[in-house]
Amino acid sequence: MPQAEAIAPLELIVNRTFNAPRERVFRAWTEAAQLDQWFGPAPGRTVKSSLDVRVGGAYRIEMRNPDGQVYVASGIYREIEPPQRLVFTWDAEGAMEPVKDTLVTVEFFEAGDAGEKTQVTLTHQNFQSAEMRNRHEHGWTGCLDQLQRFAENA
Amino acid sequence: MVKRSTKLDATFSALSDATRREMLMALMRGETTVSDLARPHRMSLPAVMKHLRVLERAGLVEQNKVGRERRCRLRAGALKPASDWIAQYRQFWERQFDALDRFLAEPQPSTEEKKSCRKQKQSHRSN
Repeated sequence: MPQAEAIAPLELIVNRTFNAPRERVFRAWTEAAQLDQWFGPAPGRTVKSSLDVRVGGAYRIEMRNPDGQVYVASGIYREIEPPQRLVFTWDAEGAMEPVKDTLVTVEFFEAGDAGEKTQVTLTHQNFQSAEMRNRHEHGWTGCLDQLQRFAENA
Repeated sequence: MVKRSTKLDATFSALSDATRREMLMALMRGETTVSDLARPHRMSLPAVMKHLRVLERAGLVEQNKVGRERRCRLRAGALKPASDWIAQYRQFWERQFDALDRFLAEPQPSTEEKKSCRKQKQSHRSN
C-alpha cells in the first residue's frame, strides 16, 4: 500500500511526475482552452469548461461522452498560488455517483535536475475528513485504517 | 456548518469524534453491552447513548435488546460507501493524469501561451 494511504485512509492521494516545467503544468489546470484539451481522457469525450481562476471564483467543467452521457463538475476556487498550489471545492453529478462538498488540492513541485519536470500531488477529500485532518487528532488515522480493513474483510 | 445530509457525510461526520472512534474500535473486538462500552470513557450513560445514536444513524452500529441488556454490534459494511467513493475517484484522477501526460507531450503554440499567461496574471491582480 502506498504510504500516503496509511496517513489518512478516507481521502485519496494521487501522485504523478510530468515531463514538463511547473508553469506549463499549472497553466494546463488553470486555462480553459488548455483544460478542454486534456480533461476528457476517454476517446471521443468532449470537455467544455469555464474557469474563473480567482479565490472565490467559480468553475464548471462539462464532460460529454460520445453516447451523450454528461458529467458535470463544479465548485469554487479556495486557494490559488501560481505555479505551486490550487485548491478548489468539487461537486459533481452525472455519469458517476454524485458527490457534494468535497475538496481537491493540487500541488505542483519542481522535479528533475533542472526543474524540467513537475511532480503533481492531488488530494481529494470529503470536507469532514479535511476538517478532521486540520484538528491533528492523534490516533485517528490508525483507527480508521483498521476499521477500513475490517470493513473490507467483513 | 452548512451540510447536506448524504450517507457519505453521515459516515465521515460520525467518524469525526474521538470517543465515537474508540467505541468503534471496541466494537471491532466483538458485540458488547452499552455499559461495557461506556466504562473506559468515564461518561454518563446518556452521553454514551448520544454517541451511539450518531453511530447508529450513520449505520455503523446496531443495537439489540436482549432481555434487560442492550447490546451493540458493528456494521462494518456501512464504511463501504466511503471506500467506494475513494476507489471511484482514484481511478478517475489516474485517468485524468494519463491524459494530462499525453497533452503535455504535445508541442504547444508558444505565442498563444504567452498571451493567455499575461491575461491570467492580470486576473490574479484584479482579485
